[in-house]
Amino acid sequence: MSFFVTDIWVIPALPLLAFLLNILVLRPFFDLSNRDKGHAAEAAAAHGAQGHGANTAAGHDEAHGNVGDPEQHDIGHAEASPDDAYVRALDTLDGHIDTPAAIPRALRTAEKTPGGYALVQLVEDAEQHPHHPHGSPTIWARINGYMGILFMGLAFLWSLGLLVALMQNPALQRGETVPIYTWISVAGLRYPIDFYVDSLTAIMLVIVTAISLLVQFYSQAYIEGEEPRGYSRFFAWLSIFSLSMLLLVLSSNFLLIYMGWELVGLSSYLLIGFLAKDAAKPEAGRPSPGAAALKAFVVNRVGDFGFLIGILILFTATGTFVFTDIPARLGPINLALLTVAMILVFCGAVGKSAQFPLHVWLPDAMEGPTPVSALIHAAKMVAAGVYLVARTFPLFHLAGPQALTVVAYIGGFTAIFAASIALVQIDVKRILAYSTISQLGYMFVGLGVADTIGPGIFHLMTHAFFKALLFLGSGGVLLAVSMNQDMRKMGGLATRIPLVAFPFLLATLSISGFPFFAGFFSKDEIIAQTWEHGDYILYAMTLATAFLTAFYMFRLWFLTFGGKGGKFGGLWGGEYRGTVAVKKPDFRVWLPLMILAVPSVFAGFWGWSSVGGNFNAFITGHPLTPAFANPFTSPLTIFGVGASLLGIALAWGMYGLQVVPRNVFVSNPLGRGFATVLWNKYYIDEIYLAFVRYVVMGLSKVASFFIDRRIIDGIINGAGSGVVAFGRGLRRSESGRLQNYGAAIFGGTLVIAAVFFAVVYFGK
Amino acid sequence: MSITATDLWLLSPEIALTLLALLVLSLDFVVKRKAILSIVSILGLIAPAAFVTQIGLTGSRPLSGFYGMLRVDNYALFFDYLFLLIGAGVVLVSYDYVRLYLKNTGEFYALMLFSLVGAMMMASSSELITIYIALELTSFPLYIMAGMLRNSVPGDPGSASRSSEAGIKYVLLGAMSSAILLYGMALLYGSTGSTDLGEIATALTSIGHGPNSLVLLLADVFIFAGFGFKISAVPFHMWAPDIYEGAPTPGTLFFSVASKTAGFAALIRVFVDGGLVQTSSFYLWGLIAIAAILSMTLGNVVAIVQSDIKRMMAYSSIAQAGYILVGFAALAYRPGGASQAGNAAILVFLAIYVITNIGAFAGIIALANATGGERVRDFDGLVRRSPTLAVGMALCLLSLAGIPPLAGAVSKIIIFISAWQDGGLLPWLVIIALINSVISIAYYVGVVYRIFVSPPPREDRLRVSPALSVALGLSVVAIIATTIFIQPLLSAGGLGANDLVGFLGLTH
Repeated sequence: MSFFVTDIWVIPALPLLAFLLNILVLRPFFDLSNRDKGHAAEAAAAHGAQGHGANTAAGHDEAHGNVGDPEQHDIGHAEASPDDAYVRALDTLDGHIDTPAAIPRALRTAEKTPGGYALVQLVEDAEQHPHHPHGSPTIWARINGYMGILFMGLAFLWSLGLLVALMQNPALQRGETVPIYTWISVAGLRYPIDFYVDSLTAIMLVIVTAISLLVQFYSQAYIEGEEPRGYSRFFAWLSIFSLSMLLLVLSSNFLLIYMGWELVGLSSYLLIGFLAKDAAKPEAGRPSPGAAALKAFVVNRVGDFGFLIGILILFTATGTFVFTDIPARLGPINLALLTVAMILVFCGAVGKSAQFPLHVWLPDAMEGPTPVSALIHAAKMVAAGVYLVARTFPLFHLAGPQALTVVAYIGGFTAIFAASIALVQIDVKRILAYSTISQLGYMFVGLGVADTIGPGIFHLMTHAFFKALLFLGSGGVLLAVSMNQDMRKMGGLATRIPLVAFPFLLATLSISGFPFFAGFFSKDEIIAQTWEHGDYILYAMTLATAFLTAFYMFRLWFLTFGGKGGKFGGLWGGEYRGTVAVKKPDFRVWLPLMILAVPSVFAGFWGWSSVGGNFNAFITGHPLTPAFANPFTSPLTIFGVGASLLGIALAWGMYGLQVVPRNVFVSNPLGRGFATVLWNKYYIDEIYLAFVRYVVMGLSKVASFFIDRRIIDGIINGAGSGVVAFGRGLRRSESGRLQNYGAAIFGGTLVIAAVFFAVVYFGK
Repeated sequence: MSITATDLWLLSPEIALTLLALLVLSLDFVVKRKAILSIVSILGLIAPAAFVTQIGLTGSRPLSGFYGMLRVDNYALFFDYLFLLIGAGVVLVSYDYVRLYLKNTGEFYALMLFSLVGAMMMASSSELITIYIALELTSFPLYIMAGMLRNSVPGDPGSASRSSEAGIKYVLLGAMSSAILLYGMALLYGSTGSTDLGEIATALTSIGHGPNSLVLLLADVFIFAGFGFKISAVPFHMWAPDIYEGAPTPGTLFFSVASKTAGFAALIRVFVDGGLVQTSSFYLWGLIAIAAILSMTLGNVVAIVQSDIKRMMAYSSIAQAGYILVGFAALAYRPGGASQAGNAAILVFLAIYVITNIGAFAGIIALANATGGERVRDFDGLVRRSPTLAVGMALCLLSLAGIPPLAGAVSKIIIFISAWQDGGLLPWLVIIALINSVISIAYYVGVVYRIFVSPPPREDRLRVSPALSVALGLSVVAIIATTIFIQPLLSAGGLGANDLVGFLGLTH
């Protein structure tokens, strides 16, 4: 066996090592101690991330008090008087600006203060100011960054080696359990930590490490601009995020995968809430990062609860957590029970992969730094759900069609549902967020309808590349226009930042399903599978989604990069609607984009038999039928391509050439009403809020009044106060008097002796 | 009759520790900087540790010396290491406290080291009189340490008088309990004609359940009561809260770990190696189980209503003793047939309890040194005032509460599962223990809740001294390390437990 397989532990060990060196050695002893000032500020910021999360209600207002002034950052007890904020914001502009990122924050605060409007102009001028020296990370922080990148690079090379080894040796592709460590092994308890390596693992490892590597490289530039003091910490969280995802991918059993699953949740919480000092922006519908992080965590809990119960059902039925052992031990299987268990496991996937109805956390998670968004959306968190279903696919298959039908229909509905919301959004990152939700829906459709995991995983792979590119590209845009996310203040950026725009266009074409691009092959395969399996409802849904996807993605493209007056009918460049000057990002931003553009365009060929692609055979051992392996032999492809081109053409007509009036759909009351519904995301958040506020709280009030106070309270208070009263009573026995204690000890001894004496004597 | 070199070699750890204590005591007269005493105490522990290791590396065990009075087996070595660990931990934790409040640094360390000599002897002797002498050697320094706070801690004017009170109470109650223990030993000697555990066991098998069994019953109960005082098992626990609260805090830590561990080491050795559990298993099991139930229940329930953190820890330690007694009950229920993992888990539980308690007390002392507060509510909002202290303290408390996957949970789970598998009435005992674990979450997590969620009384940054940071940091590292590498520890505990039950030829 190849040493790439037997020594697979190297891959997760590398980010773990980077994390430990960073957080235990370099950050405390070199980075923090080499700062001229601001130990406290950094620590305060660090705990601010938690403080906000734990206490979001207070968190919203607190950023008022400490605009751009990390020294005085004082979560929890800042008196947020508007005038105070105004004065401090002015101070900020007087040369105390630590970071360029502080300025938009000052701006956001100032806009909310009375009379703060004039300030906005000042701030916009100030945005041209160079970096303040205190705003740069220390050399040790940078070394932390380099170390993270280097170690992730090594992990990537190892994964690549593993992939090649597996490709050369088909015997390895079908799975190999690699024992790593036996945690506990006593008295019939055995908790091994084993890794499982097959071609699915190898693909996932390459995706995770490749995207993590590029994102870490990219983060250097990004985090230096946003939060230079948190530089080391950010790279530490990135490492732990990678580690969690790698553990999840490598695990051979439910116990370890659940651990990785929760670690992913934890590290995403830390990363989404990383910019904890930012305030909420209700006017743009944006929560504060702290609130967003908390929401992600809590919504995921809902799904995880189902997942945990599913795991426990399976464990009770089989006595094992190991994926490959479960089918054999199911014995006379109770299919209904297995179906229920697998649907519960799928609940976990619904939460992590942001499927309806647990999708609400993902758009809010955009409040994290953009590299984090790229990670979450492309390789890490959301991919975990799809991976879970793929990894446990044999069990889904065994459970019969119902479980997979649930998977497919949740996916299909989510795909079209999220795509429709994306149609009307104006925030760059939010559109991409909804597009992720929608594309994940495709993957679940792929897993649900096809009898194999091939199509779903194929789309997971191509999507990982182009979505990472899109997010990193949008980050490049945000850096260029000073963190403004509103597309109405963009336009024509293609000629201004061509190095970002060009790869972005390729990724846009890919996600829209333009022929020969990666997304075309993977998406078309899924759409065709639905038809082939006779599921015409799903076919209609996925086809419509393809049209919507092409439309909203090119709407995004034209509003951001193109527009009136641009070349090729508004495709490239045009009028710029913003006020701030466009800054050209450096190579740390555009280089990863260029690299990602290659697989975003060509990765699809791996599934195209005409050029020798055999992705499905690699993943599952069985090649696809010719109709799927080569989309150009199937008449269905015409419809898929047609939907895509139609969407592109419509977007071009409305936003590029501007020959179709932009109000064509909203000029009638019905369209307007529908657009409002979409703009408000079908009011799902509001419904949940109302549900919690009125139904849950109402029910609990009713229950509290009739049941709780009368019956349960009687019992619980009886028991609870019984315990406490019992405790108080016993406590009274601690009189403090020595004589009592002595009497108790001696008396206790005698009583026990007497009792046993009686038992032994009379028991005979 | 003469003492051989082998005898001295087997006693070398204790001898080295005694010399170290004498060295510290005499250095106290000559050095001005008291820090040197701490450094000497902690580095000096290397010598006994080296002797223990040297004995451990030497071929076959069990070894015995001094005509069978000294018994050096894996069980004894396990505890030797544990006691040396306690010594190092207490020196680190007490460094600032002793310097600030006690003033007599050398005496405190020397007393502690003498006490540890006794504790090590308790774990490694197999003769009743030696065990008794060792127990007294352990206890006497404790009585002095309890009353050592002669000048009140600033901000707590009553502390000096409470300390003296604690010392007096401890010495009187301790005397009474050792009288009971001695009476029990005398009864045992009367029925069997020997003080050597091996000979007692042999004699007991021939006596069986004859007319002596009622005398034996009294002996069992009295010996259990005597050691029950040391391990603070209910109903012999009443000294613990008052003395824990009154004693200087590093002393409290030392009582809660050293006294308890030594008590368990000797208790289990006497009952198992003396053949008592084999001949009178049917009621001895009940005795231990009742003590376990009472200790767990009373400890956990009363801990909830405590407002002083040291009193809370006192009740927590009573409850923890109850969990260990669950494991011991399983051993007594099926002597020789109890699951090996369960026996190993008793030792592992003690080790993890020691590590965790050192960490928790390091946190308590750090807070007390910085703010003068030792009440539960002084922990409010600690995370805002010192994030590292808060996280370390919380980790220790969560481990004590048995929140998975922390080490405390693992050892608890193994004890409970092994007891459950032993069958009979034991599952009922385990169910009671589980209910108690749930109750215990109320106060452990209650403090964690205060640390992280409650608003802090003051917005300031607390300074934690280097020694306490190191102690807390090492405890946290040790908790995490034992969590991950629990298997080697279980194996070591298994070796110790095997030697213990193997003494009478009980095998698995």
